[in-house]
Amino acid sequence: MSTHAPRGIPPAAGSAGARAFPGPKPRQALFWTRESVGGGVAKRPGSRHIIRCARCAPCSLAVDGRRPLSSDAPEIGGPAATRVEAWAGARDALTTVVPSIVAYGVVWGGLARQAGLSLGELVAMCLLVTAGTAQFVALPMLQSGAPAWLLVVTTYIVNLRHYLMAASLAPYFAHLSRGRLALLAHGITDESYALTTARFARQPAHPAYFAGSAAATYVAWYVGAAVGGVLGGRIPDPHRYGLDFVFPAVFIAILARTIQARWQWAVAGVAALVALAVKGAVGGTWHIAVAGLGASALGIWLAPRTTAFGSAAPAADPGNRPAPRR
Amino acid sequence: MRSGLLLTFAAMGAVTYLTRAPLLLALARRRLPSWVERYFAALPIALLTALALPLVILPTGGGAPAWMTDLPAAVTVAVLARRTGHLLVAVAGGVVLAATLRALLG
Repeated sequence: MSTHAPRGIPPAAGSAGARAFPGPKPRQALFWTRESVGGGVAKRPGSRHIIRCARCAPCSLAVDGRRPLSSDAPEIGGPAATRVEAWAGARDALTTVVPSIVAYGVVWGGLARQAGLSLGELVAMCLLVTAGTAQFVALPMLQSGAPAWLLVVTTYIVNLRHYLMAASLAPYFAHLSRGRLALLAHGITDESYALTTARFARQPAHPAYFAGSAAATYVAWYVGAAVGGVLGGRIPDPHRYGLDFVFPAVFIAILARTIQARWQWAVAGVAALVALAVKGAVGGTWHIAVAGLGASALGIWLAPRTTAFGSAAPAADPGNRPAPRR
Repeated sequence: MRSGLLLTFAAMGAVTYLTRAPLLLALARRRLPSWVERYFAALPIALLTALALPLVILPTGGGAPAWMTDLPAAVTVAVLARRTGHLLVAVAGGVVLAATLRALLG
């Protein structure tokens, strides 16, 4: 049996998997997709499915479907696929977002010390809150002695965007158990989400890729925050060196790359006007909630019905990958 | 270590998890109504705009007003991000310009 046959599934007699692979030695097959033959979802015993390797078609297998395909997807990939995908996620994160996350973490760690947090409290905050943006927003509030409930409410509001990311990632993870999903949920960050959706638009979706990119994101943030906390007092004045500007700069950079369609400009424009008006009139952090939640309502009428976001996969057929987001 | 602070952090972490887990668990096999999807599609744009814009336009207190230093830097970030597609390049360029303008005008 060749190295690129999937684990756990014996090749059916006479299937393509038993054929010798012509030409150069193939890479180990790691990316299995499937397509039904004769339109059957694999609930009917006897309906045939093709388990197809996306990298090398000759090692595809035809199997009889005895249970929903969604439940056997992890073993089709096997532990080797999980490892490779996890590393791919971590590597992609390292070469793109990790440097800026570390830099961010250093800045945050320094600001946290200036906001009066001890090194231990700073580390505890990273481990407990697990959300960089919310931690940034919380610092000036901690410094000014804002009440705890306001910190918690603000954190919730700032993190509302995770609902969107979770909703659009969920269809890719249809075959995972609830426990795994609950664990993976911790990995939803701006960066891991961006990397993962970009990857899943091109390659068969594997949850390990998401987990790998999320792990790299977390480690980068912890390392950066710890370094920043140790250097803390020695970063004299973040304002003078423009380090506080990193914060709005990242948001603006993400917006600049995201906004393409006219309706997106409309949402951003209204959000900007409302935020400035509320901030000017009321102060505090209310402008984030009011403008963020209010201006999004425009999307209900203006956003296109077909491309709202990538969760287009019908639940009945988890083998289909959702359409790319744009 | 202040225990009240730790409790606050734990609560912040709990509400953060509350934004991550429920939909991932609920929607792995189901879909949202279409209008909710469109609302969510607009949410990050509105949220990031609301977070960023006041920071680069409204006065920060001390030194040159933000619209003279941070706003040009913000425009630079947006242009760099669109041209290069690189987050790090865009942010670094903006930070350098913001620091320069603050040093010159402040």
